[in-house]
Amino acid sequence: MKQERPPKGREADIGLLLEGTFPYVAGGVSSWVNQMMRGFPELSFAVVFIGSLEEEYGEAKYELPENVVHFERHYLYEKREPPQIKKVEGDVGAFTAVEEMHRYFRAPRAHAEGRAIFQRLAPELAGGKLNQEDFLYSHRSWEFLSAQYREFSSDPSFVDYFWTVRTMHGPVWILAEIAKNLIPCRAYHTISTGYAGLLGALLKYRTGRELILSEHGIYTKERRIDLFNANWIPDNRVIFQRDPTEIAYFRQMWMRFFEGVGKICYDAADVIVALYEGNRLRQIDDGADPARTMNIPNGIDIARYAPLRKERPAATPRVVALIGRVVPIKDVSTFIRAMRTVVNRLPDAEGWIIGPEDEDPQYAQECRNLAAGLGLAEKIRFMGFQPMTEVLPRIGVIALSSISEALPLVLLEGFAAGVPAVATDVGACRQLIYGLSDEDQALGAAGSVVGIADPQSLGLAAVDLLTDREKWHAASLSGIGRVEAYYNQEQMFERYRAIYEAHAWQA
Amino acid sequence: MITVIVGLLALVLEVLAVFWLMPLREGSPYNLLGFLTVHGVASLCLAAFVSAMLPPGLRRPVPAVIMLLFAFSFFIPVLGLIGQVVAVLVARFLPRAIVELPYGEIPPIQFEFPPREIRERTKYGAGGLTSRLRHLGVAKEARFKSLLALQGMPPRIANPLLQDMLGDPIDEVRLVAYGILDNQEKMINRHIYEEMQKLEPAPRPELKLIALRRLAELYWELVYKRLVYGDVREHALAQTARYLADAMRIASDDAGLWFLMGKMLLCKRDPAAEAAFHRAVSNGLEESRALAYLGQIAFERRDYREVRRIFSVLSRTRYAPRLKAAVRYWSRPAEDAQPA
Repeated sequence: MKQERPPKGREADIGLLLEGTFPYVAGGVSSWVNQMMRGFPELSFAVVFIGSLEEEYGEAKYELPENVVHFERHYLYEKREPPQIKKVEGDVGAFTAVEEMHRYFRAPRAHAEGRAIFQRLAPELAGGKLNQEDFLYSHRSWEFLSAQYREFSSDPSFVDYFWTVRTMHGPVWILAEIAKNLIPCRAYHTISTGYAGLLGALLKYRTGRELILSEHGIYTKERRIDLFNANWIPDNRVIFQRDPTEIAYFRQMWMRFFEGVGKICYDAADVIVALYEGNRLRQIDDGADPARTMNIPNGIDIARYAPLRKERPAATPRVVALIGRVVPIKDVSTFIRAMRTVVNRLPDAEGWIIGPEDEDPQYAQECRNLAAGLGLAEKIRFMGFQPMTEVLPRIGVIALSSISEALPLVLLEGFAAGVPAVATDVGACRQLIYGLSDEDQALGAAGSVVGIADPQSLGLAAVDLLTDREKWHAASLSGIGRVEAYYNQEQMFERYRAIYEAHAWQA
Repeated sequence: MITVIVGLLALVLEVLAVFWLMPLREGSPYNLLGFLTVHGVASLCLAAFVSAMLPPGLRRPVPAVIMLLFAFSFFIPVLGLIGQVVAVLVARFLPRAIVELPYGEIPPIQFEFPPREIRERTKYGAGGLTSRLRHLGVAKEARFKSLLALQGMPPRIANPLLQDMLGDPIDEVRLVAYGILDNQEKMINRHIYEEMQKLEPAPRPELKLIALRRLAELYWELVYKRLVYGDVREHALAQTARYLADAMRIASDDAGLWFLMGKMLLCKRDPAAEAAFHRAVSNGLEESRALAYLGQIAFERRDYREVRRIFSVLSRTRYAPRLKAAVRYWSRPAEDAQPA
């Protein structure tokens, strides 16, 4: 951290709840958080950072803005002493509510009172009738857990079941403790569901202040995919119990845990913001109340990028750039393969990978190996983090090969600097490149959209833009027109200002 | 050995003692005393012999065991000795069939929960899976389950389906399909990189051959498993050819290399494939492994007579089960095997 000691204030206007992002992880969401706080200099912010383990995050990548009056960080999977073992009976009422809540998670639509149950339970989690001791040591807890195992588990190992439940629920009490000790805020704003969202719900029910949720990616969906590909989850079924179409039970448990946590956050949030319509529909599908949802797209500081248009050389540089962290979700390997197609047709073309590699060094190494395996070691440059204003004028086309995105800022920044893009058909990319409303679509295509993991199409689309001068110009103009009309940060600030006014200064 | 000597000594002494006693009829008490002395030494020797022959668990405590055995033979002259020798022989050569183990028995564990998923198990064939996956009207959960079931199919068949799934409107389906494909590809690429490292400080020819062969096979696997398309596929094929050529410079008569060469050329529809397969067979490849490929080449040449000839040879060998339908069709006599 640049600041020697993080600020510790007494109260703040907005309590910003961040999980695995600003200020320790660089990326789109972190930039957005940074941009938002700087966009509201008149408000004071209390920032709560939640991470898994301290060693997974390096130095802070962003300096805290002046208006951050309070900063605290917590690591949920850090080794800590469990409370002292003692004989606890457990409160009948509390455990009946817990049971009821689990029933609600299994069938949210069939259970009208679901939302109220967690509201009742939230204050009991720290210093109430459902403390961590009650969860870990009470008779009722044991009875509930073994009954659930008998009723639902399709995995034979009770031992694994027992520890999965314990590990999974551990953070709930840590979050309850954080909620209990956080300085007073006028409203809470969480940037995802998940643990940060759960903390938001706990804070809301504890303090009665309102909760705003801005979701960039869909947290629950991303966890589902992570968990599906995770290889640390045991599966103890023997061959006769195994059904090829069925996911291992503990995997399902983890997925349902995050779904439940997401549901709690949607239930608690007074405003649910998505970046684009596709994600808003997904939120509703996951249980968000449609009446509380809305779309606010990302916006950027166009004045910062507009002057770069003049710095561009007359001929389109034969450079295809992937700008983003070198992590699996960006599918950098597809970009590298696409460069094989580009270089086959344009031997002087280069592929630049601009973004930090420290988040997943193993993946970064795999990408380098892949480039070598494809005979592209000379053609692909891993450039690390670079200031956008310096690299954008030297780029011909921005390539975005991600397998999942929300509304990528990097495309907007590229458009503002006059650089068209080829992107995979994920998140709001189609809307950014081809336009949303009729008026927007009339501006033309700012590049092209291809399927995910389709290096051939991605490469050909890039070649098409690099070689067809007229097409490139048209795309560049469309991008500029679109970003200026619809993705200006002022529009975004205005809409959030209205939300903050309505929900932070409520009666 | 000493044990046996001691045992024999006990026997000899006992016989001697009995003979010593014979004059008892004449009423000399010294004879009795002599008998008791010799009989006592014989009993002691026997006790030592028997205790040495006992299983280790029964030998301790040594003084008490020796005393007991001694008492047996001392107080039951002759018969005691015979009895103990018989006991030793039985213990030695006819041990109890059931050995007692130091474990207790516990009742079998009740398998409590019902094997629910067996009853509810869905059965999908490859065809059903394909249509379920391709049909967007099928419920999300059913499609997701079908996708999971794809993992049980051979990659060459499952991968094109997974490629189709990459364009699915449902994020989970799309991303899980991506994950499955990506993992396979990553694994192969990792091996490629490892093998390339082995070539770096020019190894001995035999090690170099292993690495070159592996590289050719790995690049081929990318193509065979249908993991790569377009330019990347072309590149993989070119690399296969390159490493095969390098490997053949070291081992020009390797049947495996020629076989792979044949498969690679066939994939490129290169007529030289046929010669490569023949070369593989002449270098020692089992003929039945090349026959199906040769059959395919003949078929593509529209030389159906040759196809029939090859498949009738194939039908007499041990061929892969998946070829069964083709073999049955093509090994029938010509008149009823009119292609549709």
